[in-house]
Formats: sequence, structure tokens, C-alpha cells
Amino acid sequence: MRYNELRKREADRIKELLMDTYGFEMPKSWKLYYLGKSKVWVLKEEFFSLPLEKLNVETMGFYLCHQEYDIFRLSIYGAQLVGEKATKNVLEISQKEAWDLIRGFDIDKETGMDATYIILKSPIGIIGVGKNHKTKILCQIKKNRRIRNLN
Amino acid sequence: MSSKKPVFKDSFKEYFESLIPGELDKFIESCKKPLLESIRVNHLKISPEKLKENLSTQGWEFAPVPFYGNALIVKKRNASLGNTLEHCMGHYYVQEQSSMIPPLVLNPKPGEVVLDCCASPGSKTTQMSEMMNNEGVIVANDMGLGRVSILSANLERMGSENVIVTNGDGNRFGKYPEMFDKILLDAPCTGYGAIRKDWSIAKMFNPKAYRFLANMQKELLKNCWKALKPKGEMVYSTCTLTKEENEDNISEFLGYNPDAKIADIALKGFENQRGIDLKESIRIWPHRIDMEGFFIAKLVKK
Repeated sequence: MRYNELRKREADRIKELLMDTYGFEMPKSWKLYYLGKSKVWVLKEEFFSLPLEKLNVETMGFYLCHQEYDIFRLSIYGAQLVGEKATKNVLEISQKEAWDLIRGFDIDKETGMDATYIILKSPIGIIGVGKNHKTKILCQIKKNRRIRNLN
Repeated sequence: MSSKKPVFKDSFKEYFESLIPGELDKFIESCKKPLLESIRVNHLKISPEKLKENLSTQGWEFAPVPFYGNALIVKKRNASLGNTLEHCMGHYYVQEQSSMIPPLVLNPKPGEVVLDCCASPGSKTTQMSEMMNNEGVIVANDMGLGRVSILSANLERMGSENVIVTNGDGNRFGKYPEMFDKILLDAPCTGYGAIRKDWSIAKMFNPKAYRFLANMQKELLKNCWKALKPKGEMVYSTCTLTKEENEDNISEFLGYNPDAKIADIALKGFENQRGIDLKESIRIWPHRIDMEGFFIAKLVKK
């Protein structure tokens, strides 16, 4: 796996997007890396004390977001971390709506929000982000994280 | 269950009769019983009390796991364990009770550098990450690329931030001497302890298989040991019940490695579940304690 540290300009852009979109201040300890082309991961400083180049690394740290051109989409865990302290673009949804999303369905709901990807908070907790179509929220939960049947 | 009726070959019966004389019938009966369902609460995301409260409102009922406050036995549920919002959000991991013991015995601390040599699907890795409060580093290795994907997905779901996932033969860690403070070697095994989960395992009983795997485990033990720092600790575990893959491997290893000593495992509730001729280790027989069969030994480097 190739991993490249984001240039200062790129890391600042993520920091700015987190602040502008969600009012979230990125912790200074977060070291941002690209794993692959457009997936931004947060790695720990301690990782680099190990001979990573020899270990055949597949992934490390946690997947924060996808960022490519104008697309900025938080991962489920990224949304859970950011959403805990976010001050805007967090939409409360019901448990039923959360169930619909986790099963892969879009939901009809007025969002009243501007961001393309909004953080969705159910009574149980944050379930990730949804694509904001003003009166509709498009499911963004990856197929391997969805519930396929209810039995 | 993948097999409609469990089939216990004569060779299976003879083998286990020699290990537990007079207890074979009880052992076989226990293998036919389904396992108790248990979950481990991810305290990085939710407290056991809160999760219990959330699921109880949906009609679930629980009993405590006596040796681990973060785990619950599921007595009643109204959905599959993996089909809940809470599961999708990483609030819990479906994990058999026995499988929670090796990380508890290794007891990784925040800031340590830990190797989980055969990590997939990640039950023990995520447990250790939680125990370390996401501080320090865990190198979680697995040989199969497909298995590594499952591991990565579980790490993401559970919010394990301090893990490096690597893919390859665990023996290669022998090339990195004294790299790790602690090592968990949950070795590939014949899995006879997991018959209650999959009856077809009993049908596959074969001395050639356990001898082959015992040799593989010896190599892994030898190479992982090299990667352990002096004063470091290593936990060796399997979900099988053959002596060759467990006590014999450890005894032979101790014979060849003067810098290794076995540590007594003091875990409440397991005082009488000891290895055969290796009283410091734990051996869980499913007919003696209602869990999956398991073996756990702790080694310390001088």
C-alpha cells in the first residue's frame, strides 16, 4: 500500500473543510495521509517508529474521508468523530429513518441544510453521512456495512 | 450449523478418550449443544450499561460474563446479532467468551507496541485496541488477503485507530528482532474447540492435519519469539483441543528456549481449567465450562 503524507496545503484544505462544513476543529495530533489516490487516513506518529516499508502494510490508522476535487465525504467513523463536536450540518433522524438508511434506502426529509454531505444522528448515535438533496437524503452507507435482511 | 448431525469418527473418540478418560460422553454431548451467544461492548463508543439499556428496550435480555465486565451473554434477542443498528455502528462485537480470554491474559497497555500475528477477523485485535484506549501500536497481520479485508472492515466499524494491518506470513516477523513489547499468537489450528459452532469440524478429524498444523505453529512460535523484546510477553492460544497443538508445542518450545519461561495465568473462574501437564496454562473443555474449547499459555522472555 502506498501512503503519502498530505502536503501542508492539502492538509490545510481538509482542516478548512472540516471547520467550514461542520464547525469542527481538527485536532493537531491528526497526521493526514493518502492511502491510495483520494482516501485520507489519520495515522499515528508512533507508526513511523516501525519499518513500515518492510511490513507489507495494507491499511493503518483510520479512514477519515474521501477528498477529490470538490468531493469531501466523511467515512462512517470520520462522521462519528467529527459529529460529536460538530456545530452545523448535523441532522437528527429517527430510528426508523436510520433503519431505512442502514438497509440502503434513501429517505425523504427536509434538511434545511447547505452542505452536500450532512452528518446523520440517530437516537442511538451517528450513523455516517448522507448526500443532501434538500428534500431527500441519499444513502451513502457502503454495501458491506448495510443490513441486508432483518432476521 | 453447517452439518445437520455431528459425526464423531472412532479415531476422534479414541483420541479424546485418551486425553480425558471417563469424560468422553460428556464431551461429545457438549459438542452437540449450541454455544451461548455473547457480545463484547466497545467501550470506546458506548458503556456496557448504555448498550444494555438500548437493546433491552428492544426486548433483549442479558446475563453477565463473570470474568469480563465489558462482555454480555445474550439470553434473548429479537434480531440476529449482526443485524442491528448498534452492531453496524460498532457498539459491540459478536465474540465467543473463550476468545475474549487471550487479550485479557496478554493485557496490552496504552503506549505499547503489540503484534497480533494471525489477526483476522479482528475480534482480539479490536479488543486489544480498546484495552489500549487507542494509544500505542498494534500490528495486526494475517496471511490471507481476503481475510485482511474482513479485518480492516471490522477495525473501521469498531473505531480501532492504533492498528497497522499487514498481509503476509507471520514467520517473517522473525526477521525483526525485539520489535514488540507484547505478542498475541492466536495460531491457525484444527479448530476442534469450535465444533459447537460448526459440526462439520468433527467429521474432519485427522491426525495428519493436527500434526501438520502443530509443525506450522512451532515455526510461528519460534519466529514470533525472536520479534519479542526482552521482558516482553507472548500469549499463545488456539481454539483447538489436541495436545500436540497446545501443551506439546509449548513444552517443546520451553525446552529449546532457555530465555523463555511460562507464566501462571491467574484469571478468576478458570482456576481449575488447567492444561494437561502444564498447570500454568488454561485449557477450556466445553463439557467442563460452557464455552468454546480453547487453550491459552503465557510466555515471558527473560
